[in-house]
Amino acid sequence: MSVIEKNSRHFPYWLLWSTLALLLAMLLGISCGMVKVPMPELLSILSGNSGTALHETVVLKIRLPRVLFAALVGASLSVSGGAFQAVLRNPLADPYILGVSGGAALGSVVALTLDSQSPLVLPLTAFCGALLSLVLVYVVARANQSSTHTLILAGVMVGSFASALLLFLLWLAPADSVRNAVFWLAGNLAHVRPGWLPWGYGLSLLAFLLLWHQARVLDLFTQGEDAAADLGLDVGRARLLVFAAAGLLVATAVSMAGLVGFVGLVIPHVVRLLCGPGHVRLLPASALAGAAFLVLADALARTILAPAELPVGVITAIIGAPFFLYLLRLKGER
Amino acid sequence: MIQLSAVNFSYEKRRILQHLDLDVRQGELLTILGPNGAGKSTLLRLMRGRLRPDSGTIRWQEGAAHQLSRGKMATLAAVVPQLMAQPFGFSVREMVAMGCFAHDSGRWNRWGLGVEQQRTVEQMLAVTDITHLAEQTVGVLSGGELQRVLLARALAQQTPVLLLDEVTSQLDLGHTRSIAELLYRLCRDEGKTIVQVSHDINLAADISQRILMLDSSGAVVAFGEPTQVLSAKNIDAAFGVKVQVEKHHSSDALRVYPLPLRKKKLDR
Repeated sequence: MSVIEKNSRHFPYWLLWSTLALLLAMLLGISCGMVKVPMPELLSILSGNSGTALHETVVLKIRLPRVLFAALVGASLSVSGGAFQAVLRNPLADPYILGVSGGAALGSVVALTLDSQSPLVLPLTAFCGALLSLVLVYVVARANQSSTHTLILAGVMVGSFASALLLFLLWLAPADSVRNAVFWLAGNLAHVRPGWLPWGYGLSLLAFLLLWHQARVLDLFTQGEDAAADLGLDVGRARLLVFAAAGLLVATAVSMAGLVGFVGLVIPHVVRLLCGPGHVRLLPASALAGAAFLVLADALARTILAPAELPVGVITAIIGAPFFLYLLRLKGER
Repeated sequence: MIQLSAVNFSYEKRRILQHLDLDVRQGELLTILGPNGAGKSTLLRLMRGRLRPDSGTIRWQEGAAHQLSRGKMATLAAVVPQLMAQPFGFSVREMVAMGCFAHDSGRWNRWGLGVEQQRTVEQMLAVTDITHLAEQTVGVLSGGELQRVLLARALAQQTPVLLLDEVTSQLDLGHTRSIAELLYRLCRDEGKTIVQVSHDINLAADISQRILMLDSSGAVVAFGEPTQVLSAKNIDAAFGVKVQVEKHHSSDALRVYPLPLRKKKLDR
């Protein structure tokens, strides 16, 4: 059986199942909330027919954008996590753990303190912050290539440093915006402006396509930079491209939802177990699974203490941090 | 094929190679012998342009080694590196297929391998005797099996030159023999040029056209045909070990035997 036959035999099913899972998760996400909308009416509103005015507003103006944002953030974080794991050759890599999210958050807060209203300024400063911390982590970890843990430690330190700067900036800012920002930092989808939806999807789609086009190059990166270069890869250029695309994904996600951790760690791992390590399949499957995961986590965050709302980052951390520890232990045993 | 003249190289203060002149001929199997830290792997890295010599030149027909692009070099020389952990669960077949990137990086960016490439992959799985492992995850392979996978991947690059870094270090006696036969045939029948680093002196004596022997300071102890290089005196100079060198009775091949440990002296 050849590689192609194998891929084409499994992949469409995978695509089908994960798309179905995502649609179900989104439906569940839209049906959750204080105002109960009966399922038949919900479906009819979603398919373009009218329901009661209140229900229409709740479903189309509030919940649908919210769920679409959650899906976007989940997909972006998962795909970037998968890409970082390949390029850094470290299955423990995740934008949050690597401090990339922290850098992006710092960038976002800088933009917030400058009080810019344009939908592009925030992702752009977040992008600069993400790239800066990524380069910092990479340069430190590169000096000690043999250790996978150096990378993680460097990431945690860069993340701490970014959050210290960030708290300092918040301390300088007026009091009421601080309160908002603190919730936003814990990972929260409640503060996104609906007008950002097309921008977010546009940027993330661009970055995703860039990465997906590099899928088989990411396969080579898993062999280590040395081996990848011997196989004929221009490592420096490819790495820059992947860093930029993955950084853009993180920046988009963070500028919309703040610090949502561990999605980029958990999802690519689970997907790798289910459909193999090849990035041609891993990236789109991670995107769909990550989207479904965060939509569900957000639904949980909204309902668990209703009418109060938990930051979704709390849910993902409660699931993700033990998972990280489990992986760490697994690595130790090998 | 590859011309090294007056090459010096050092890592920071430590001198690795000193004034090395070497002309790798097309179609030969050249073995580099020497103690740990002599600079054997470094020499392979210099040859493929991954390192630049402090002084001296390393030239391929296509140009100076360090000036050739990674893509170009991957079509000239395939490398079997020393073993490293495989944290991602690729299958053996997927690993071998990565060798095809060298010749077709444009197509590689798309979804799968062409028919021609698939045939190459299956052929290389067969010649390295790992077809039965094709669907296995590389993480569960033994060191020897992984070495054969890496060799198959290098062969799938279909380059005129192979640079092998201790490719038989983890192989059992049977597989060492069959890989040695494969390397010998690749040189004789397909005109491949092979430069290998090895610690297996008898294997080197069997299959090498020429041997380069370095000592621990990276200086050349001897260079030439196995019968000239493999003398008790040279091996003592390079490794500091007394050996007995004999001609095998039914062929002209040399056999190198380390003398038995002098246990009485150690017990004292």
